[in-house]
This record gives sequence, C-alpha cells and structure tokens, in this order.
Amino acid sequence: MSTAAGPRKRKTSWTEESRAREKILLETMDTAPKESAAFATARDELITMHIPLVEHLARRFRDRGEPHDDLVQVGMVGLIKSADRFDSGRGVEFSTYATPTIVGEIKRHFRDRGWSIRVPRRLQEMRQHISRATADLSQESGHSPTVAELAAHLGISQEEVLEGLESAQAYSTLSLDSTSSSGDDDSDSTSLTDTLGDEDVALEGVEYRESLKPLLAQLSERERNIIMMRFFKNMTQAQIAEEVGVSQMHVSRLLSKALTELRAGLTEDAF
Amino acid sequence: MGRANTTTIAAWEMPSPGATDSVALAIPLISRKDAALSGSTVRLELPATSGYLVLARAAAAAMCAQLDYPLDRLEDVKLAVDEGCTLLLSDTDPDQMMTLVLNQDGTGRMQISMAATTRQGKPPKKPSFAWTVLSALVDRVSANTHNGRLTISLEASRGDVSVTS
Repeated sequence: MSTAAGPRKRKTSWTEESRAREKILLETMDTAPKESAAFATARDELITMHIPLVEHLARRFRDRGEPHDDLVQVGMVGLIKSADRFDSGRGVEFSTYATPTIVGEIKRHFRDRGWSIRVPRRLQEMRQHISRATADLSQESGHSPTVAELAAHLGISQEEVLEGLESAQAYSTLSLDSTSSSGDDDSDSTSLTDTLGDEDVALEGVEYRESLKPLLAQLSERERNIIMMRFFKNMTQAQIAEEVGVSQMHVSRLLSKALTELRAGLTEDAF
Repeated sequence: MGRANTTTIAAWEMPSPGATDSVALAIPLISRKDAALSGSTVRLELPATSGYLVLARAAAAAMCAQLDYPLDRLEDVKLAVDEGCTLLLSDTDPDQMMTLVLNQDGTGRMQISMAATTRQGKPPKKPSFAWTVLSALVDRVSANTHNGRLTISLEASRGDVSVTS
C-alpha cells in the first residue's frame, strides 16, 4: 500500500555536516524563546532530520503484525516528545536520548492499541505449545502432524488446537517477547541466498511478473524466498520450514502476511 | 474442554458487525468419526466483506481437522480459502452475500466452492497472481459463471502423506 520508495532503502548517512547542523539546531532551541519563529523552525528541522531514525526503529518491529506506517507514526510521537524534552546540558547525543523514547512509544502502541482484536494470554501460550509440539511431532514422524495428533499430544481438545492455530496465524506475531527474526538485515537467511538467483527463472512465463517484481522486492528477503518456494517451486510448508530453519507455523504466518501485502500492492486486474 | 463434538467457529468477537450483517451456518451435527466416514457438507452464507473471512477459514480448518489433514495441508487450505474469497470479494459489492460450501466425500478429498454475484460476472484471468497462488495451494482450481454468479471451486486432498491412526 505504501508508495514510499520502499522500506528497505537505506537513508543518507549521518555525516559530520548533519551532526554540526544538529548542534546548531539544539543551541537555537536552547537559547531562542519557545514562542519564537526561530525556535519553531529549529524544532521542525531537528524532528525532520530524525525521521529516518524513527523508520529504522520501526523496522525492528516488523513481522509483528502491525503496518510499518502505523509504527512510524507512533514512533514520530516519541520523536516529538524527545525534541521537546531534550536537555543538551546532559551531554548525551540527541539520538541516544530519543531512541528509547521512540521505542517506548512503539511498544506502548503494541500494548495499548495495536491489537485490533486482543488475544487472550491463554491463546498466546497455546500457540507456543502448538508450535513446539508441531516441531517435535514432525521430527518424530517425518510429516506434519494432524490436529488430532496435536490435541492428543497436548492433552487438549481439537477445537482448542484449531483456535490456537487461527490466533497464531493472525495475531501471534504481535507478541513482543517472541523471538522474532526481524533484525534489520537479512543475514538470517544465508542458506537461502542461493535461491535468489532463481527468482527470475521461477517468474518466467508469469505475465504479471513486471508488476510483481517490485512488490516482491519490498518484502523481506525471507518472506520473498518463502513466497517463491511455496508458490513457484511448489515446496510444502513443512519443507520450507526445514529449509529456512523456522517453525512451520511461522512459515504459514509469513506466507499469509506476505500474501496480504502483495495483494494490497498488486494492481493487476484479476478479472 | 467438554465440547468435543461441537464446532466452535467464532472464538472471538466479529470485527464491528453492521446491524444488517447476517451469517447463516449449516453444519451437520454428527460425530467426528461418522462424518469422516460418510462425508458431509458445510454451507456458509456470509456477507461479502473481508471481516467474515475468519469464519470461512475456521470452517475450512475444522473440516481439514476432521479429515486428519496434516497441519501444513490444513494451513494451505485455509490460505486458499482466504485467497479465493478475497479474489471473489474483489469483484463483489459489499451488500451481497457470499456462499461458501465445503464438502468432503468420505474419501479424504475436499471440495470447496465460493460463490457470489459479481460486478462483472466473469471468471478471473488464469495467469493472474491470485490464480497462481491458488493453483499452488490446492490440487485443482476452477472457475465458472452462471447468470452473473461467479463460482470458484477448489479441490484439496490430504497430500502425499497418508495418515492412519
């Protein structure tokens, strides 16, 4: 949906020049009266300058089920608060001061308003049990377990397993405690880099590939690979999970999420 | 817990249902074992808005579970139902109803159809992304139109692994 240049583009580096500029701005804000135009201009510029920082921090929380743009927006609140509260006399860098405030706002967003539907703690825990049991049982039997097998293994009803699966699918990524792989780089998928070159081959003969490519490029490398493996190489979710080294539930969640993103961005006329 | 034979469909509140939204369910209330052996049909009439896809997914998942599909197949079928319905809804006015029929014939195969009266009343393009996705997720995909009503049909099976327990 976002028409921005793409979340993966790195912003300009933090040069000496901008560091010097930041210093001037902070001095202005220290000395100019709060009502003055000079103060307002300096404050605006200081904030604008650090938007890339907010975007960077918001990306740390990707794969957790909240739209990036929303996270940037709440992160901006943190940035503005930081600009208004910063005291240059403390001798810390503005970005050092702002970072925890921005992250705090983003986390608060997850806690307070992020969940369009609140997932009961019971379901969150159940998801973790199911995920672990799925891995265990897969390893034992060599195939993905059935709901009945999971229910028997966990000593719960099949309905509860289904409930847990659905909540996992849609919402579990929101848990801030979950060990999400969302680093800011894609180093987690080293075993997959070799599949990247195959992307063009796999998309060959796909008429809409020109419209698909930029969208795929906006996904994380891992999501892109998973999409390619599932839809263009016909690997099963279980095979993908093994190849990528994540749980099958995570594969299914990533697929679902990536599909939603692709759908939203794909302008092809399906009819 | 003590509700072994009921099919729990909605585990949480629906996203802001409008006053006029209605959902019709037709679920055979027979035991799991009987159902798996003799085949059964589940029919859902849902408002043609994405807020109800959760019900479509849940119904599909319940049937997959009844048929002892392995988890990765189950998730594929859910994803396919989601994708198929979304494709259907993209050409359907929100005041319409969408019909989802899930059928299993007792052999472990599952037939799923999604139908609604669409704006253009024609089947989706075959080389589209949605179609590629559907084809990868289930064994068979087809679409046909009749009197302006588009039906997308899917067929799924347990997959390569046979599970007997």
